Amino acid sequence: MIPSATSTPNGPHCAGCPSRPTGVRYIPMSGTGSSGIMAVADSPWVDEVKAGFPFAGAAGAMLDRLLRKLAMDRADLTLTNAHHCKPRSLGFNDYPERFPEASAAIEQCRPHLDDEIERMRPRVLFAMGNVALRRLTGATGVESRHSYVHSTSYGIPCIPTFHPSFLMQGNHKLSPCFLFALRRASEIADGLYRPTSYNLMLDPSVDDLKAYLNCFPRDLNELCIDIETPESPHLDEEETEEKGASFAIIRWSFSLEDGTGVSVPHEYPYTAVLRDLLSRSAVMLEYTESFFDSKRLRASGYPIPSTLASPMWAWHFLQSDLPKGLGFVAPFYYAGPPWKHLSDQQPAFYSAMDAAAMQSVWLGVRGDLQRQGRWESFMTHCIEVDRLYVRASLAGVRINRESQEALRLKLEAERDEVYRKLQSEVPLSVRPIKQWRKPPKDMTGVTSREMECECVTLGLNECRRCKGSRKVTVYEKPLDFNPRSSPQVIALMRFLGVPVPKNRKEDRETTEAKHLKKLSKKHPVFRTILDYRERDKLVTAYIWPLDDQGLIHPTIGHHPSTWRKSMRNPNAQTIPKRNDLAKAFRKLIESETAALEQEPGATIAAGVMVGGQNAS
Amino acid sequence: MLLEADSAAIEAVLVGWLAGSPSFVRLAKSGIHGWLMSHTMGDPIPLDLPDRDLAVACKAMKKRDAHEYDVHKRIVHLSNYMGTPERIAEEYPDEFPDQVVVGPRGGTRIIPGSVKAKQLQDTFFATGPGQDVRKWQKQTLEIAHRESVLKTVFGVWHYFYNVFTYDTKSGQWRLGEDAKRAVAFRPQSMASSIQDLILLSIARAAPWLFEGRSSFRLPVHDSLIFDTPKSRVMEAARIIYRCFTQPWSQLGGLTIGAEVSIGPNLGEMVALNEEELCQQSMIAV
Repeated sequence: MIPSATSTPNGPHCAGCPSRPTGVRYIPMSGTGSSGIMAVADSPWVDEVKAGFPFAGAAGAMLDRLLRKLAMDRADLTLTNAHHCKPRSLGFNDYPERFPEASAAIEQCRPHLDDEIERMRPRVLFAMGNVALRRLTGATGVESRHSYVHSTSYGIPCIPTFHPSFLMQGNHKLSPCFLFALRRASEIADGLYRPTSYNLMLDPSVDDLKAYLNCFPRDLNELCIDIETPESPHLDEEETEEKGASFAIIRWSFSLEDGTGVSVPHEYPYTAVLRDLLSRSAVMLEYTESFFDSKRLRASGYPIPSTLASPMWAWHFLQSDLPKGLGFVAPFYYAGPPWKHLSDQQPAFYSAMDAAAMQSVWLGVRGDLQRQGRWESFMTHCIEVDRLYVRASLAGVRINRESQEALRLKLEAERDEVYRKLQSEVPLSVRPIKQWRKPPKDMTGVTSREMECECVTLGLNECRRCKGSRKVTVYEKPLDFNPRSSPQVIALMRFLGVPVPKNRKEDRETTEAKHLKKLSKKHPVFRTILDYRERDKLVTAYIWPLDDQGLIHPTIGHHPSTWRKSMRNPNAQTIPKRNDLAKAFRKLIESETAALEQEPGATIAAGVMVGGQNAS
Repeated sequence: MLLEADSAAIEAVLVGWLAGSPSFVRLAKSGIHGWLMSHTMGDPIPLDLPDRDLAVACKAMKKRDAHEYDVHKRIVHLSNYMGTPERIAEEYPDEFPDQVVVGPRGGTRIIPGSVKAKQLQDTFFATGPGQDVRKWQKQTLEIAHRESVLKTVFGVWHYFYNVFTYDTKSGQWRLGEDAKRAVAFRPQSMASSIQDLILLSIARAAPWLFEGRSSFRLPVHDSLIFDTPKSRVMEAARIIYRCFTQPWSQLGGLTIGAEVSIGPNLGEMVALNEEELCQQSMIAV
């Protein structure tokens, strides 16, 4: 801590700062702090330097607009920064791993912020953005930390949220999250904050668990359940299916009523309790919408309740524009410290908290939807219709395996033919070149040439490469032109003197099909690239892997914010419709009765087991 | 036997309904692309024709010039959702190619495809139904900007925070990043909600299609695909057709057309005609 008198620009504590001599632009805190809230951001920028106080530019105007919505004024807060001088470039503070000097500069500035906190003695710290969050709490990831109550080394609670500047940059939808966090900070400052209290049972004895369950009626309505696999704490469970996550269950947790959570290992005799619990429940609630938990429980032979639902769906119906992860959603229905980072240190607590928070989210969202008069709509357009989609997914779609194989071979042959044609059309000088310093084993197509040596000498020794001759031989071979590579296609455009098209929204160079189509009128090579990509896409995207019975089982979800249906594993909604290959492709999707007519003696198995999953 | 049922021009019909434009709804059902094409060809199809004649006249335009029909189709689709001529030309270079024009002195100049797109779009918005759509777009943007939320009659809401944005340099309001999404939201969402309700009504009217191993297999955009026993395919087709074409009380009794086709695979589907589909079904929807 430094005395306030020395907390000045270019003071003794600025010596050696990586930001010096920019320290002359030191921007001190502003505001009366009468609300008891000290809002901390990252650093000042040009507008702040001109004005001499924090949040003077566009982000400041955004902050003022947000504050007005809560009938607050910036003078009520104390506004300051983690780094009090203008950094050398925008984003300098955001990437400490890229700019180690940024971390050093913020660390150097620590006494200044410490001093401001000491002088103002705020009742709550309000961290805006990742830089402030890291500086005040040591934690990272504002999206999964927003609105949770963090402890700090100052003994003052800290509520993180998004930086107003981030909200302005295409993230306006997160503005309500900012306001929510500010409301929570105000509650703490005003002494009105009441943390959520959860009763958690962590690894109880099986007798205690049974005694607890006996307090509930035999027929249970909704069961919130969460399973842990060896890798699930470290993976996004929505993305694990493609990554082949294991089906081994190591722990399971559940919640039957608000404010409770129970977590036990997945081992005997707890497995018998789990089986009993699942058989007693009418509705199973799992957080992920990819049926991560139910798929694994079903694969382990547990009875799955007839109705599956996800609090994530309900949240998405309530707020379709916001992120859906439990870590993001929970603070709207739970007030307390974060727990998602404790998966390794306290697995039982972590898992029980997940189940308890899931229950809180489910009940909270239900209450909100009921207040809006939309609960029935949610039940109709999600839960009821989803039962039919689950049945469709389990039944599967028959793909003619022989025709698929024939089409694959045809497409691959066509693709390879187009590939060969393309190689002859692309000038040699555009192709990437592989270089060797020594002659490679296979000299096919390899040429050699002499070039100036970029001599590397160690001490007084002569260059090890050229032995002092200053000339070296390099061996080169032009590689094939890769039509999928945007840099290579852009290099071809430049070679042909064609202006490189730009993506209008993102202001970056692009090789999208619509642009290549246009260019192909003058340069047929782009038509060849398009032909290649089209065939390659058909091979990779549409030749779907089939199960033993020649079926695909797409999972139908509720991702889009319009509440249209999404599909994955595979996405059969992207059936090509208009190009010449569409008909051949559509022919692959066939009726099973048609297939049976071709296979004498075969019968339709009603209610068949499909891919190890029985129709619920 | 595979059975595919598809809502006909559902989003266009919903745009017309939302715009409060009975003529747009009527045209969307009859073939608005052909109708617009007749306007640009200088021989407009009169709107006072009976429904059946209007549909026949619109379809005749497609036979007259399939390529131009596609051009007009793109114009209607993208203009409904505030697509600019530049965007339309960029998205569909085949339909809106750049044209090389030779001048009187032999010099050449390139006329971008967006010029044609603009001419056609102007024609569209100069018609009565086109003006209705334009007005609806404006109203939708204003509501989304003022209330930050758009709601559908089916209870689906979406929040929008950047419909208009104030440009400090020019001192004017311009469209924000949420503007086009806001315009597209209600027709797209309502189309999806209607499909949900169709599916649920099929499940009520013909539970046998979902019993045991489900005959319902796949939703693909606006269509539903079933795999039914051959012996019951016509029974299923009639029920499904009735479910698709039922009047929607939430939309003041609006109906949406449907196309139903059957076949051994999706590449060899045969469309069933309306007479076959409208034969009396014993099961009420």
